Amino acid sequence: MAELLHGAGIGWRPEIAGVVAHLPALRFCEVIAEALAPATPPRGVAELRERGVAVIPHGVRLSLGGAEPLLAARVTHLAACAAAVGAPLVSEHVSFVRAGGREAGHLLPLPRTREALDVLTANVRRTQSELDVPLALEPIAALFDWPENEFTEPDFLTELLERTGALLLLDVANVHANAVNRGQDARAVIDRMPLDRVAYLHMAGGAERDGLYHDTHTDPVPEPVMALLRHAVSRMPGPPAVMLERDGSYPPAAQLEAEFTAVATTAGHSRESGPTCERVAL
Amino acid sequence: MVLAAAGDTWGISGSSFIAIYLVTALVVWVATTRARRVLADPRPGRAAGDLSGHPHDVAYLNGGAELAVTSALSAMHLRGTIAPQRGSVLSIGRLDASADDLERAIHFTAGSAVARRRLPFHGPVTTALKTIESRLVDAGLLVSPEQRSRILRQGFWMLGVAALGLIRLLAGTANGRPAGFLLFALIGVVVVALVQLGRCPRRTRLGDRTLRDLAQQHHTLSPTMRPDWAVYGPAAAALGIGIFGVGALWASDPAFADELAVQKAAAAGGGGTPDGGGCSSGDSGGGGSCGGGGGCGGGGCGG
Repeated sequence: MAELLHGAGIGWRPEIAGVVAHLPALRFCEVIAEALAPATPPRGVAELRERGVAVIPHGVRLSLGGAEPLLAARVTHLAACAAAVGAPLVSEHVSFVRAGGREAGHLLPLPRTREALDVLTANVRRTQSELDVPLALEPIAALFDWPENEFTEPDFLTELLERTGALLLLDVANVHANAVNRGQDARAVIDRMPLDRVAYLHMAGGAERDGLYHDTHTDPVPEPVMALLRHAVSRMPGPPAVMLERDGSYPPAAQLEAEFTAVATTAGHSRESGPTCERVAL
Repeated sequence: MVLAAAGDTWGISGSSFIAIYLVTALVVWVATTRARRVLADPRPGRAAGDLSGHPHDVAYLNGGAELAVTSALSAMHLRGTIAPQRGSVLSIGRLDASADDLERAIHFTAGSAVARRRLPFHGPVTTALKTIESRLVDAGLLVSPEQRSRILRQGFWMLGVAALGLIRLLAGTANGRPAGFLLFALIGVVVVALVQLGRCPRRTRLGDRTLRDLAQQHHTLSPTMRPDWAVYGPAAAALGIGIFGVGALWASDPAFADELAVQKAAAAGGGGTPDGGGCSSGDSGGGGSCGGGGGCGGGGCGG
């Protein structure tokens, strides 16, 4: 499989756009598709694009696992976002966010059953039919499992990717969260994941509360998640594209940059591997 | 065309005079407007100097003393050297080496609680603000008092045109001639003269250019982006207020803006700088291309 993405990236958010623009060796960024107007992408995103930083629309509201039909406008929007920013691929979640006409506002886990797999497969194919670029699917972090599961998560994903030809967006922090909350060995889960289908990895911070691990995106990346990244990288043929997600409680710029660099180097990328960017003093 | 006939005031017919008068008024208006622009732009073509290292100077350039104080207070609040108290401020902690003269003056003055609005009138703060002002005048960014009076004096030309019209009006009326058109023209000329005599820009055109360039260069600090000041740090926060007005404070630290009792109404005008924000299509709300970044909320993201 030809690699679509290289190096290290970060989730582009307007609140930190000025800091993202100056991250050393930034090779790609992810933009929440639902916050992107294809006709007028934010200036910060357009500038990164001009500098050769790849931009990936990341959908959060397609509800690919939902039993209800996909909303055509959301699929069209995702495709339009990809075209607008010249994205090499787009990504969405293995989850549902809508049922009975209500929006959950959260990514909800699917029962890992054959029935759910059929629905998911149909929705992914429907989405792919409108996209000009590959689709990567991200398994989510969940605080609970449905009781009727027929597959383990790695088996479910392997089957899904085989059926649809989609790529894997593997969130290392989600694997850690699920393993902690299910009482599993995260490394063993990683080992069983279809790592040959990985388009890129997500890294994010979280925190343990009341014995449960919450994938908050507002805390620093904890050491066990870094260690799990090292393990995942050791199982892959070369340094995978990896991305830091942070969605709030932002640390000072220097700390954010240090965390970005730590994630990049842990995944095997050196600081010099990016396109040159002019550092503008603030 | 008959220029004069028996009984015409000064030997010029009313219609000829009004035509000549209107042309004269227009020529003088255009000439004085151009002269005012030239006087407000003493160094045309000069590149704007880099002010981004002096955020409170930018704030003074944009919104005067009050915005400079607000920008200084916001930086100090992030550094933990002042605490807000319902419209007042109180110095806390110790200043570090990064504090500039204005911040030192405020820290000294607010040893006991001082109302934010009163701060510019306390000796040390006034002195620091005056220093900033003369620095901006010397840099050709703010109009100096001499420039100001020269610009205002341009209004005398229009006043002269008004005087001519008035004399003709009086003479014509004494001559028993109708003068309705002339009266309208005269009122227009007087209005222009009064505006020119009474109004003068604060900033030079170089000052305007500088602010515009800063807004372009630092568009990520625009309030439409809701920049997170914890990431950017105190200096960038102050610069955001300096360039984009108090709207930047309301966008990034509404609790502190509220404590300081900064007018929200002023935030909308915000010193009237161009919005260099990265947002699109007049989308001032939360949605569209700038809307909230992350796709998650609450206790867990999961994505």
